[in-house]
Amino acid sequence: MKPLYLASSIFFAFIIVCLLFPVFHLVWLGVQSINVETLGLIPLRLVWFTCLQALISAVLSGVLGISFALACYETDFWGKKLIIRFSEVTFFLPTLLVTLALIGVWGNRGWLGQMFPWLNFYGWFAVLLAHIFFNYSVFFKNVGQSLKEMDRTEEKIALSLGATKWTTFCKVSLVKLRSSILQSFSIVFLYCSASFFVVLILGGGPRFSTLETAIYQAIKVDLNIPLAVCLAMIQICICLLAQVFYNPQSPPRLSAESRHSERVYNLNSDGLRKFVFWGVWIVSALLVLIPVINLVVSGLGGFFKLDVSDLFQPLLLSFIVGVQVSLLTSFIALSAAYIHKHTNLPWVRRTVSFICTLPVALSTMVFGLSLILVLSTSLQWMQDKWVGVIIVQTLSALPMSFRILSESFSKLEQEIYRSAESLGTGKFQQLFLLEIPAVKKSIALAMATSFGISIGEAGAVLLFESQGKTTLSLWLFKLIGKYQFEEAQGVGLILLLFMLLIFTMKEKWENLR
Amino acid sequence: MSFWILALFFCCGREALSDSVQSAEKSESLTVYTYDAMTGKNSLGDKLKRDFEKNTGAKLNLVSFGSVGEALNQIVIEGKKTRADVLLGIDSSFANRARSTQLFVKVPEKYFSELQPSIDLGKDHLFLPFDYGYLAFIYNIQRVKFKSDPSNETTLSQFINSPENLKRVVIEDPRTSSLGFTFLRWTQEITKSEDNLKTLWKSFFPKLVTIAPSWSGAYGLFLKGEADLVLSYSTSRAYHLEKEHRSQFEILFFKDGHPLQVEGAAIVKHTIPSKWIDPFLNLLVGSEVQSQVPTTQWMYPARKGIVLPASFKELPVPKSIFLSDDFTELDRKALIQRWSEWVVSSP
Repeated sequence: MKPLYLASSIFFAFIIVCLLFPVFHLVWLGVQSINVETLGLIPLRLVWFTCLQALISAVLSGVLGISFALACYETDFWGKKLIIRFSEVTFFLPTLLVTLALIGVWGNRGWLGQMFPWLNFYGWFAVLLAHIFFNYSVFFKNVGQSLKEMDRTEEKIALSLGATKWTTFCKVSLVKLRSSILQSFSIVFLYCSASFFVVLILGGGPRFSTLETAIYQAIKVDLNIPLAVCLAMIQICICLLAQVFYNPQSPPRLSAESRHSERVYNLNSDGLRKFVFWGVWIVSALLVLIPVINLVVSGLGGFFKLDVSDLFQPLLLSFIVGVQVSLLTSFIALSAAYIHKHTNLPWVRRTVSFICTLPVALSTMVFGLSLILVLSTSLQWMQDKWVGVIIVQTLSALPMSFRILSESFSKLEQEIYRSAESLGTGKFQQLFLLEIPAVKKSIALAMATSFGISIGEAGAVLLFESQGKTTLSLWLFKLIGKYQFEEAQGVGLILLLFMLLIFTMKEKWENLR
Repeated sequence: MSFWILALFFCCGREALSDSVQSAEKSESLTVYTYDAMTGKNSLGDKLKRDFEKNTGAKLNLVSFGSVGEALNQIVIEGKKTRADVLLGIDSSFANRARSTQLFVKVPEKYFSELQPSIDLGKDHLFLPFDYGYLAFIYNIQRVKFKSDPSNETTLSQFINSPENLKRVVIEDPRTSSLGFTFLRWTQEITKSEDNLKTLWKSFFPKLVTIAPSWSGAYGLFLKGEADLVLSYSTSRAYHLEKEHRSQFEILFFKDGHPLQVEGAAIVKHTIPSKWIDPFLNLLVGSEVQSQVPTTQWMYPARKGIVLPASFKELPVPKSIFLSDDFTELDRKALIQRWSEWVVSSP
């Protein structure tokens, strides 16, 4: 058997069993169960609010992320590297940790909240703040990367012809950045429309319900599965529409020779430097630095209040589930990347690529619900063995892992294969002696990324939790729910340390790649 | 990589081993589905588990869920295959839903004989009460200064409509919290008509800091200083007196009374016959566990003649309001639906 067939069997078997069949089954049930009575239970406002908050969050994250990217690219200022590093960390922090950090700073009795007593934290302000916290870095990274690799000749010509910097930026640079902005926008919109814990904890009641919280309520509270299915169908439609703009591959990069790294707007010369410096630092401090510092300071106090014996079970379970998720994800993503590299059929390549990015468009609740419906007879087994959690988290981590591995595979030159073939190596030998050693850093990176996603994820755990066992993230959620904020901050600190460790490892491997 | 693979095998092996041990023990155990706050160190569940295992030698598995509603749903999903023998913590908000599932059987008459007659969850004896409390707003006298002591001077309706008093209140969401739902029923009871109820809530919404998903979430926000008043139980004051020696948390009593919330236990139909049901129910309403109810659940014990701790003796007992049992699951959903619409359309 050729490795291509083996990889295809593994990949498609997993995808059909764990993703396509459950989701199509859900859609089929949805089509059958749609009736006037069920639809009457779905307020239009729910759909409207889900889209509106996602849209505003994506726009605000975009404004901030693009401004930061431009500031960091066009000028040098003290602490630039630190700002860049922090922005990369924010995307990987667990949602619960961030909500805790934001309450500690912006809540009515928070460090900054007390300075603005007229500001009602809960509701719009809190939801948007949390979404911007997570997502501005998506724009920052993507747009920053494009700025770094963009040909700037047109900007220079426009400026030399007398166009103002603002006009040049709007009419030339922005147009060239359109692809990466749209891609970032669609990712952020998808993430925000599927936001669960942020809305549940910081929203404050029915006025801030989204489709995701309504699905959770329909499954766990009202036990209204037809309603949950209908809501999930609407959620899928919204997400698939947003995914139109999402392209899993990085935008085409210029060759090293044609890269123009020089700055064209040169903010240094305009006296704007101070403005940029203070602007970036103040926004970063309010949005990211102070909340993270609050988390560490309060977490230290809370950490010593934790009982070590209470800590052991969640820590071990998080580790076990995380290891299983990272192994499974890297295995599936490796199979997908292998097919993507070696298939001669363009439609297979496109299909693999589409399937691997499909989870971006589907939320945890939708995955969870579809698995519950398909495997309802084995629900107990799924809960006991954490199978549901592992599958949902693997699917959630698949897009990122696939992207990492497919990029690495694409860098393997065709000449190496020809040389290997001339030495008489078979496909399996090439896989184990050539390709896997060549991409092993990327495999480690994919594993670290999926481990991090698993550690921080709590939605699937909440849906499939069993026998009173808990993971670190769910324990954090329950502590917040039990008003044990100090202990929650202690658990939050452990999670934060975990994430920083994973992030440092990830960065190391990324550089080694 | 080999380390990860070894770790995986170790973990899977450990899980498999623990599961085989569990299945062997299943016949010698009782499984109780309950809500989160009932489990954990020094909780009532913890006390029940220790005493039950000591008395019988069998294992007591406490499986906790976010709320008692979720625990009930789990039993409904599992149906005949459910592992639950007992549902612990059911209250009047979910009693009718539980009744309609027909998954529970009547609790034998003998367990009710020592309970206070006024504390019940229906005349059908499907649920065995073990604790109760009065809904009340709690406030911190160091943060909230009333012009005059409002306790026993006003009604709930006057208080909500008063322009002076309520500024930052946190309540529980009736969709997810039984306490929040009982409060909604309370407001329904005092307003009598739909229009009055709507008007009352419309004037209440601007005074809310937020609507928390659960009691613990709401109380946490209150203790953290995020809100000045919180919807809780009158016995919450006893907690602060007993555990923290803090007397600044006061109860706001209304002259028209406060509704009672009773919590009970239900026997799952498919568990019959289980030899461990009797010892468990005996223990639950026995004087030893009942005397622990005030300092673990921070509620009044359902059993007659239990000596209350000093902190409870200090608490005034309010006039109780009777909320009718005649409230079906459909009524519950319809009321919550209307309430949600008012929240959404409020300024």
